[in-house]
Amino acid sequence: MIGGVMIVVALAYLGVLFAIAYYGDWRAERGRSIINNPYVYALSMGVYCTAWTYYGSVGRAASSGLGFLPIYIGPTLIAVLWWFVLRKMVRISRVNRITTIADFMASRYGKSTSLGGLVTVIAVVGIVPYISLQLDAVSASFTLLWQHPQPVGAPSVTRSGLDTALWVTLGMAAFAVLFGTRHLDVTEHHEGLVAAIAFESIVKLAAFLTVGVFVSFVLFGGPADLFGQAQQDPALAGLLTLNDATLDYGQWAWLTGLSMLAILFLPRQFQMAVLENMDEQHIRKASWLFPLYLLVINLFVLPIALAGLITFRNQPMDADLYVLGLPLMAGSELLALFVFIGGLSAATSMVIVDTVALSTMVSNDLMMPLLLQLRILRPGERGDYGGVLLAIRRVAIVVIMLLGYVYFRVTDDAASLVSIGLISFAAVAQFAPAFLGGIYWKGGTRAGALAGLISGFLVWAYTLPLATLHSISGAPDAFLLNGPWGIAWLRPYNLFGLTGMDPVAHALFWSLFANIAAYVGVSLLTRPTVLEQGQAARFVDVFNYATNSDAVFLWRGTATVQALRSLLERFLGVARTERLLDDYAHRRGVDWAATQQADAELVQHAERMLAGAMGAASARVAIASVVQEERLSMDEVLRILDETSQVRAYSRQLESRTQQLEQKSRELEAATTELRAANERLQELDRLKDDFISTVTHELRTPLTSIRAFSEILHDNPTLDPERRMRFLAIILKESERLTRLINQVLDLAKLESGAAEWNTTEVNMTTLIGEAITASGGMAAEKGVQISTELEAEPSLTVWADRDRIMQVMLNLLSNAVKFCPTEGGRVLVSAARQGRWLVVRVADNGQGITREDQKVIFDKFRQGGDQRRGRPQGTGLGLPISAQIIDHFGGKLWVESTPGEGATFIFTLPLPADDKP
Amino acid sequence: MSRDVRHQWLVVIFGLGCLLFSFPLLALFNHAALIFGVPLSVLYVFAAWLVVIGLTFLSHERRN
Repeated sequence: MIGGVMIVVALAYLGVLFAIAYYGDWRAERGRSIINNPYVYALSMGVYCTAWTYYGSVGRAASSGLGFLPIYIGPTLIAVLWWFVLRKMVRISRVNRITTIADFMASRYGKSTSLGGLVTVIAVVGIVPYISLQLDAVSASFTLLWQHPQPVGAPSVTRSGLDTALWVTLGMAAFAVLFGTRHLDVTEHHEGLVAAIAFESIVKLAAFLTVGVFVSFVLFGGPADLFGQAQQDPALAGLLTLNDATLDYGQWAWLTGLSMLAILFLPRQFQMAVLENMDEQHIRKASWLFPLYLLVINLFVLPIALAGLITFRNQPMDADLYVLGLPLMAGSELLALFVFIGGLSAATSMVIVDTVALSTMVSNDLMMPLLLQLRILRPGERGDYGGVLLAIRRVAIVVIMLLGYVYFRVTDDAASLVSIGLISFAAVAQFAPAFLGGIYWKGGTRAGALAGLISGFLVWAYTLPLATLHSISGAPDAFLLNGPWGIAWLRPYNLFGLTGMDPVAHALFWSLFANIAAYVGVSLLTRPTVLEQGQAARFVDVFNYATNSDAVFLWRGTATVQALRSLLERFLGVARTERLLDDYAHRRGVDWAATQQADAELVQHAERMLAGAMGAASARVAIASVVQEERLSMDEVLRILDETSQVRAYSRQLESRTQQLEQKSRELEAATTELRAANERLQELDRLKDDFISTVTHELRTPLTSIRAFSEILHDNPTLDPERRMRFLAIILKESERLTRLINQVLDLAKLESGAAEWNTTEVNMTTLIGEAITASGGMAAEKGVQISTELEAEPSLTVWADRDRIMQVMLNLLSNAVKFCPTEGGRVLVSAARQGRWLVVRVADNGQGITREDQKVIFDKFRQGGDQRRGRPQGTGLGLPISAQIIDHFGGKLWVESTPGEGATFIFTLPLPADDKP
Repeated sequence: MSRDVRHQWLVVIFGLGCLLFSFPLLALFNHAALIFGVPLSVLYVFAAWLVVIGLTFLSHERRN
């Protein structure tokens, strides 16, 4: 009765997975990813928890107490270091467009097809026991439910329900094919897949916690009750501690170590944690969230195991099925159904991700290179090879699932789920030396990696899966007991006579021993090829390269764009190729219409795009088939990469540095000269400043002195007659006015020179301004009998942009100077303004004595006045002309003097007229 | 705490975790005696586990 419901519910559940996956893909296509956050990332890593965790942990706990835990402690510890290790793996994979762990290894060791193939074989063979574990668990749980309500524990309920396993196998294979090979491209993230896996992680956690709570709190009085009962029971008390009967510290330690390697190198973990990572920052959250997930899902393992042991005390119930058996026993069929779905989710998540990863490896790293090298596929010819890749993947999935089934049928029925799983763990641990060596040690070579992997794999195969085939129902045969042909030191469980370790620890020790020794030894004895050295540098120093490092061109060749394009089209499809090439052209500014010959950069780019679909090694072979490769001379390569090249680069740098230094010293010399000149100029300025100050002081003292002198006279002679008193007072008044003017002008000049003066620039009509200036000076001119006449252009538009008051200041200064230096009789001043091109030219001419050539040079200096000093004290401050010159200069004009001694002087200034003003 | 220092903390936490889950300390708490109804050995393992997770959490998530 419940069996039928179970099948319907299971199918519905798988349907939901498809829906989620399609939704995930649909969102991804629209650029609104649902998996681009650290929580989904951490949950997707929960693919680590398979049927092993779901069913097997309880079975393990029933026999070894806490012995189920090291498998989760190891990942927790390594997760602490993820920020260093996993981030590096993620970065390398993204930069090199890695598609699988086999691709990673092949790529690291010089894009080696043989290494990629070997890793694929090891991964497939190594994961087969793990797949069989899932089939085992699902078919056993299925059988248990199917036969319900037959009494639980009846003899007919065995785990290997005859053909149930085959049906489960085929069903899961079909599901994996449908689910895992929906698309060809494997480089983009499988967003739908990740979303579905994260969902499965939630389902299995919820189901397991539900059954844990149900068993602990409904069937029993809480975990404390269970532990209490166990402690009273001599048969169970031993499970509460680590001891010889359960698990000793040595086993604890190596299981922890083994699981550390497994979490990094299991193909499905690599897929989820490395390849599907959307953002390196997500690793931060995942490195505590994922261990937390592991902790939570393990909380009720021991209570359930104890409950099972107590409940099924005298029944032949497999401890691996307690999780399902307990709710069934309690008559809670609905819960049992939920538990079954939880177990199904645990198993399917593993199967989906592993088959996707493994089938990709088989197609990219094993079959494709073979087909290309055996020339069964010729990329030069027409044809759609994307379809070939997909077909290979589908066949691979079915074959892998069938291998799992075969392994399940031929191996020991009595083996527990965990012991089967550990065989796979030991297999993937073989990747560790070459992988970790590959990302932290540049010295590892392809030959070393091959040697290490082959030795480790052979020892593993001999001591674990082969050995398990010789132990039926827990009873070892002669091969195991006496060794092959009676050679005792070759006994698979006691290699070289090593005893006292359990089989997995023993196998792990010898296989890793052989593996590491061969890897390191052969690596040190062989010389890496140029390509290997290049890849080694790119992997080990990945953080030193730019994120999209195309910088290292290890390869040089020529190809036509057309050939590359048709190659890409065959593997990636026309639309995708078009898009990728357009992107490239857009980024690099290439015009395809004008480009016939592909350069090394484009070839490299095409290879990387192909690598995304078919793996680095295959891509290299495919590219080589359409490209005329020029062999890079050793010399050129060394220059790019090798350590020697660094030396050369350094020496070249040194050379150029020397040249630069010479250049610098020349520049330094020039700079020194400039500095010296500047210093001289500074000294000159300093001297000028001192002069200025002493002049100012002198100029200030002159009026002060006379003020003081006359004040004293007035003070000392109170009886001075009013007339003289008035005269002296007038002098004091005049001198203090002079003093005020002088101080004002000094301040004015200082402001002008420091640039602190305020300017109100407006439109100034010069005709008007000149008229006003003449009117203002009229009093002074009349006093001296000087006649001022003008000669202004009739045009009213002599308009300039300037500060009206300042220009007025200039005009007044020039006029007063002119009046001052006019002869006392018949003095004439002529003011004229006219346009000359773009300039307004204003002249103020007098008919005085003129200015000598020497004086013309100095009158614009401060406190220098023209004229003969002997002819009496000068009549100005000596600052008027310098100030005027500064003002005119500010507005872009010029002020100068033209004069012939004896014939008067003409002061001329220019101001620019607005450009748009019509002539 | 600068990022660099925080990253060094990760290495320290890893070392601490290895220590907590290895022989001498594990043996120290390897008793079946019930504390709050839970065997000491079980309590210790889960507590140590939580400590490692908590420290990792702190070193990644604490904003200075």
